[in-house]
Amino acid sequence: MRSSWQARFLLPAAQVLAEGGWLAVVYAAVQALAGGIPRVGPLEFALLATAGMLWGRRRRWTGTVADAAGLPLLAVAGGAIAWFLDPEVRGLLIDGHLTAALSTHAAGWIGAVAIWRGEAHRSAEDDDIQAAQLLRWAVPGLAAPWLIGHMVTAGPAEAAFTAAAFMGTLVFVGSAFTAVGLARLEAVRAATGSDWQANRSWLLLVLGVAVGLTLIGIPAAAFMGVPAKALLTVLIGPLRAILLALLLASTPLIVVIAALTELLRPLLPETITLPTFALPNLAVDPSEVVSDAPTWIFYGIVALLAAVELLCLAVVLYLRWQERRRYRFSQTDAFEERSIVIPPPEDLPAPATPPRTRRRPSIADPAGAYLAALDALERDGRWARQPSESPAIHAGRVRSEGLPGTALPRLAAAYQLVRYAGSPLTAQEQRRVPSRLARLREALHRSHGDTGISLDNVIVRV
Amino acid sequence: MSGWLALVATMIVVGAVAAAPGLFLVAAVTLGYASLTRLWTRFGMGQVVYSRSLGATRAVAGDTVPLDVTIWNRKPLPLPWIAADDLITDGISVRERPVLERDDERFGRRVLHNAWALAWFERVVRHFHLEARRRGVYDLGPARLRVRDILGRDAAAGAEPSETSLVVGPRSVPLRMASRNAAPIGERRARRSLFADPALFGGVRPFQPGDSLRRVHWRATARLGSTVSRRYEPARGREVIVALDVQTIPGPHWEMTYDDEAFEGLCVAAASLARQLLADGASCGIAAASFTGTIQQVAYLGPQAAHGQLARTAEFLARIGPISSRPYPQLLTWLTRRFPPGGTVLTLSARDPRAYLPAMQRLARSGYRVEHVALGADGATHAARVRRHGIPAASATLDPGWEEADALVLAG
Repeated sequence: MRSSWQARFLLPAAQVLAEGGWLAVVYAAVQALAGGIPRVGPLEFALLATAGMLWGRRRRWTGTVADAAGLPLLAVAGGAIAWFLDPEVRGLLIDGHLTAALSTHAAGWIGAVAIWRGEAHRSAEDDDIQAAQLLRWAVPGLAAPWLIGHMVTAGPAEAAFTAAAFMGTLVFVGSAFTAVGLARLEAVRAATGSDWQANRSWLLLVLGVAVGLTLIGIPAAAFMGVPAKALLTVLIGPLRAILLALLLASTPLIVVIAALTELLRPLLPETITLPTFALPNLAVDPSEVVSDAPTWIFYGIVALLAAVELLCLAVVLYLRWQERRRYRFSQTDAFEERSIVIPPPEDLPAPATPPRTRRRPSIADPAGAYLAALDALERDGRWARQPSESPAIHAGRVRSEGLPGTALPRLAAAYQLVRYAGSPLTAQEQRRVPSRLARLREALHRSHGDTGISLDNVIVRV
Repeated sequence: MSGWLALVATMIVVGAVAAAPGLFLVAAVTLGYASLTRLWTRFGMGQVVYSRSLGATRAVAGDTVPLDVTIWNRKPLPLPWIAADDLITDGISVRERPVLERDDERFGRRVLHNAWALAWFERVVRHFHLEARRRGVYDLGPARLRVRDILGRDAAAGAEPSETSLVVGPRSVPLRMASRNAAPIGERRARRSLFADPALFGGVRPFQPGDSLRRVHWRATARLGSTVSRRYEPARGREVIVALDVQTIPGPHWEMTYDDEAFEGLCVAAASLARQLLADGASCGIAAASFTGTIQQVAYLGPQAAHGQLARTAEFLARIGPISSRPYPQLLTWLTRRFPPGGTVLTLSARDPRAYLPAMQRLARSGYRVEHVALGADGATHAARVRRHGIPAASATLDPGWEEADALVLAG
């Protein structure tokens, strides 16, 4: 069964973003060690990891030479690209100072590591293992670059490091959780052949976890003093890209609406005034325009976007139709049925009742003192009362087995009088109860020292 | 968890000492990650209900039986990954899973593996179809359940100990006589009889003029509000017991070798004979020297003409195996303890009758009517050999084989 688009595109994207995230944190720390400002972010490292992943999952050029030399060469190229992203390096190279350039922005060579990490995802079957391992080790492992970065920087350099590392951490956490979720979903599909579409709850769960962690991380970081600029960078960066994409995507619609409005304007009453919208001028004035290429390029882009949108619309409609058709035919013999069934209240387990706390009996009370004495004997373990024994028989056995004193028999007698006979003790006997309990405890304590074993009665058998 | 907590605490302490707020962020993420994984370890298996239900507990070889496997997460915590390994006795196939792996722990079992991702309170029912190609008793269960956390690690495990059985009886095919002068098998009971056996109470019927007052069922009359009389079964004729010889290869009975095709053919022939005898109104039973999952050496089903006797015979044949528990002549001798003289013993075998002819002759001399059915390619020879000793015998064939034959053809 062919894997779905989530597995083919979304999962690798999440994986490379996760790789790019943690590599960006490490890069920021190494750059901080070198006293520089981070120039490469998680996106750039993710792109390099993508190159490594594409190399690892290639279908062509699988000869021995390509296997042996391809990855090292690609890694060197990736490292060089990341190194080259520093403007200072480019300036030095333009000036012809190759040695000085090589000693600048050494952290950029972490780009080679990004290539290598991307290539580690060569097998799609191990996606879930790779993603889980990455999350397991990289989450606590991020502490080291954070610590190093903070220790070696101060002032503006520390702010720059914090911004870069924070962004990398957030990108890593969000994308790693998403990758793990998608990878697990794909593993379930591979194991059972079940349809991904039925497992949207899993997708929602994982995305919810990723978003939740990110949302918790942002205020937490703000509370802990991570610069607000970094937060704005994280929030506004993707937002700006989305707005730009939306604007580009809606350009054909805006143009069509404007054209229609212009055509309908003569039909409207004069009292209604429409806002003016200037269409690109198709009447070319040769005296003002040297080349008409920008106008044609503009209309070409608009036409292309319109065609792409129409194509997307057609694809979506076709897929919806196919889905409905499949669903209609599968009604008769659906392999799997899913439903949300809330158990009826009587089926729900009863709330756990807290265990009844045993009230400690008062030792001033004859019954309480006797029960306390029984507790002491039970803790001691040697003369615990058996269920079949009456208090008197138990007291007799204890005395016959070597516990000295009359405290227990008297406590037992008092207990029997109070509980069984229902006759209250005299005030004098009542006063003696606590002291009898104390004597019993003391006797128990002393009896531990006297085990009855001496060298005289030890027989050694050879 | 304590290790994770120690790690988080270390990060916080180091972050505070080194004035590195970033470590707090990493500590928070680490704590969240560890807590998440712990969540499924503690609560993953709770309130999970796994069940299976068979469309039928009895089937005939060649039938397809629906099997519904249901898993229900009865708690608000979603389960990212829950798998159930349900053990199925080897020999039955699942249409939706053509390949089932062997179980490592229990011999002769295969694993029906299922995995789901369940939302809160979600119940999933999967509809499988069991294709029963051979007779036998197939056990389903117990099932092993495993839950994985959001990172795909094994978080919790459990078991669903309940077991379900599917009894697959052999096919039964119509009997066909090879020639018109072939004698019918067994004894028959008259459909309508002048005599009813008062010991065989068969229910009640409306009172008819001429019924004796002693025949009126007064309690049923009071309950129904109209007069009803007792109905009795007709007096029975002779009973028939099919004595099945499970040994298919000549030699000592304790040799654990057998001809599987011949044994399955014997089962089909026995079921077909029983079906025909019961259809003719005979009181039919069956006996075999084979183990059926108990310590008893002889499997025996007493003769009955009741409605469910055919199903019981099919279940009997589903449970027996091709390993002989005692010699066939001993089985024939043992029958005299359970089966009264006057009845018919129908011996069914696929091997040379010389080994058990003396026992058959002793039965005949003891007052039993003995008939023999010889199955297989040499059936005609074996039947002739039995007939030479004065015992009625017929040869039977299943063409082209026990799986595809459309009739049991009797000759002789």
